[in-house]
Amino acid sequence: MSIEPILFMCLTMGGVLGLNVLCIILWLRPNARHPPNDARAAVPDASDAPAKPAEP
Amino acid sequence: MAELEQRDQWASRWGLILAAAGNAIGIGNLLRFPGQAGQNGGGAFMIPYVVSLLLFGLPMMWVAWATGRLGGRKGHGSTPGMFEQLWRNPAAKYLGVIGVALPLVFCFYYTYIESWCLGYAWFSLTGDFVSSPGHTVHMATYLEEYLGTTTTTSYFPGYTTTITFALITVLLNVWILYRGVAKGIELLAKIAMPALLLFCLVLVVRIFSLDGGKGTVWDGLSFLWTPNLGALSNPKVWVAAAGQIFFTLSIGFGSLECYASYLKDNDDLALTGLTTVAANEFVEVIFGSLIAIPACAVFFGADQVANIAGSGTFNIGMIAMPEVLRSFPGVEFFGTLWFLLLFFAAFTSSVGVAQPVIAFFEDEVKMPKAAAAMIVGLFWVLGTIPCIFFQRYGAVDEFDFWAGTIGLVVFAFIEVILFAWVFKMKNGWEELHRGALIKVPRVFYYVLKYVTPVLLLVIFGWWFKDAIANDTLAPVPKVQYAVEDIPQYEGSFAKGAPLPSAGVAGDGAKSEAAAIRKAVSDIVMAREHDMFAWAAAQIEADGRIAVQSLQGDPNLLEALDAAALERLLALEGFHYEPSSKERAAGLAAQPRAVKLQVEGWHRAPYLWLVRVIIIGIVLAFLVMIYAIWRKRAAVAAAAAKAAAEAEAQP
Repeated sequence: MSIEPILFMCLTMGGVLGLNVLCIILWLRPNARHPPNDARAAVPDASDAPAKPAEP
Repeated sequence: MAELEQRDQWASRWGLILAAAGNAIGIGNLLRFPGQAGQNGGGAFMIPYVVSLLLFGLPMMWVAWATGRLGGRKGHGSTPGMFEQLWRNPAAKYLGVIGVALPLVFCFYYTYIESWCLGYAWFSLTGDFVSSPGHTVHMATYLEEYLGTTTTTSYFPGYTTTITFALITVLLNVWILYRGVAKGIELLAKIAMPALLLFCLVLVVRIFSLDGGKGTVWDGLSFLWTPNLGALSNPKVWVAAAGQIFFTLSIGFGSLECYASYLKDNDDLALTGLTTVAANEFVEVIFGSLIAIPACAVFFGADQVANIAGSGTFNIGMIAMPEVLRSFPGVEFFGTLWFLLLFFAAFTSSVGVAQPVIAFFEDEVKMPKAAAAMIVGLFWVLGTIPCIFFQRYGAVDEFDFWAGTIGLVVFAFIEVILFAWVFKMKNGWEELHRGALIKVPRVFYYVLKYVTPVLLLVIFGWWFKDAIANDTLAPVPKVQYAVEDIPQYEGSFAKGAPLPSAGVAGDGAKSEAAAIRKAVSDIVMAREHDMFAWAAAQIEADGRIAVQSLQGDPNLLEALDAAALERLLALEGFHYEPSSKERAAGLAAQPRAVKLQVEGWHRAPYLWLVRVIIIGIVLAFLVMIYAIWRKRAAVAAAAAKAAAEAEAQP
């Protein structure tokens, strides 16, 4: 097997692995750790809700 | 808000990502990708592949997620309601019908294909396709008989097995959908996706430890990854790469939109979409290139890999791979693993594609989930019937062409135009970034607005041109021949280059063979019914088939006699290849009798039936949408009138 296919394979697979690692890192950031989506029913539709008055 | 309170929701973010990845990861990741890459420039294929991913794969993924969440905010889990949020026009909901009708049609044949994987997993477990003395299992005939695409009955006497597995598969899908988003789809993804990765890993280890075949895994990798940069000047390669991106990401089904509709208003879309793409590419690029083609290279050798890769998705998965796996110890385990892997990949996709249909009945028709699952299940079973019984006439290909190829591009084009031009890109961009955990580079704003729609038009035009050039739209009869009682032959029957006895080669042989086939095809078309004939023949010492007599339908015999059939066989290189055992015993030199069956399938009525089914389903949804929205308007008008009257009261 010559060097060219190995190079293309490593580049592509490396890129895909890198993309996956990047996604994992982004999900592990503190601001990404939202609670599970368990409160939808209780939360009014944001587009329908009246604007919240500013805190005094 | 009452209707929103009743809608399903995801139990966890990881569950959603696994479900979305499961929806995108399908049979095509493991079988279609390596075939396409190998045939279209090898390693160089990755250049148009990545470009397509960036120019419309990833952008369309974001459009799907944003459209879905926007619709979900108003309680719509299917595209008729979602498109109405993008475009405040009565026509919008009718455009959205494509995102409900075509997924249902897609499910009819995709679940049927999924059932083959389940069936083959069972056959592997029981060792059904392992040859025994006096009973050789020829994988190509085995598959054809399982699917009923030939009328020989050496391995499967009828449709019973096929129907059983198809029914089990449809019922499994309906059961998952009935359980709902969190307890059904999400739970399935949480089990199936890790299992899928584990199966992939085990198979990779197994394949890389195979030896004793005609080649090595490196022959397969070399075939897949050696870059042919010259191929990049061929537009066909770019369209092939774009098509692969299209199929692999499940864009244009309305399923990702439906998944997104169960998100909260401020949940992230940008990173979720990117992660879905990343997970899909992980399975496609890494496992797609490390399993099937390297395994075939080990068994068949480097010189056969190109032929296998070009033979099509199902030939690789259902003929070549079992051939490889049964030739090495442990077929019961590794064969089952391979087909369960394909089954899981397909299962997580089919439930995703069917979910918008369930959501339509739940959200728009206001049916309870059980009723929605039952009605969809009923249509699903009914729709699978023509796939099973008319597969020999090309029903699955016909469904796939309209619902799984052309329909996807049309839907994606409508969606991106509505999103980027009607809803306005500025609003779409804001919607995408609401609650986003990453900032999408600004360049995608312009890509989505200008480049993606143009590329979709180019793909549509190219595919349609191809369909016309390849006569896909014209339901011409299918002419084929099969060997009767094939298990008695230890060697194999194969097609290849024209035999020396044909006296011609290359294009000359091709056009002469096409002329003989056309003569038969014309007769079948003119008489408008299936035709059969049976030939008594002999395998000669050099492997060629000498036809001695031909009997059968007199109409067919008008176009084909024994000499013409023998000529056709020689032109198409149809011959007998003795097994190594036969060669060693000197049996190859002994002429043997063989019976052939010639089949002319009159496809037109069945293909038109498929088209009528598709049109009927689209029309049925259009009528339902018309009735639902009309009723809603009447209810709203009555409420407004009552309110006005109440206001007018002193």
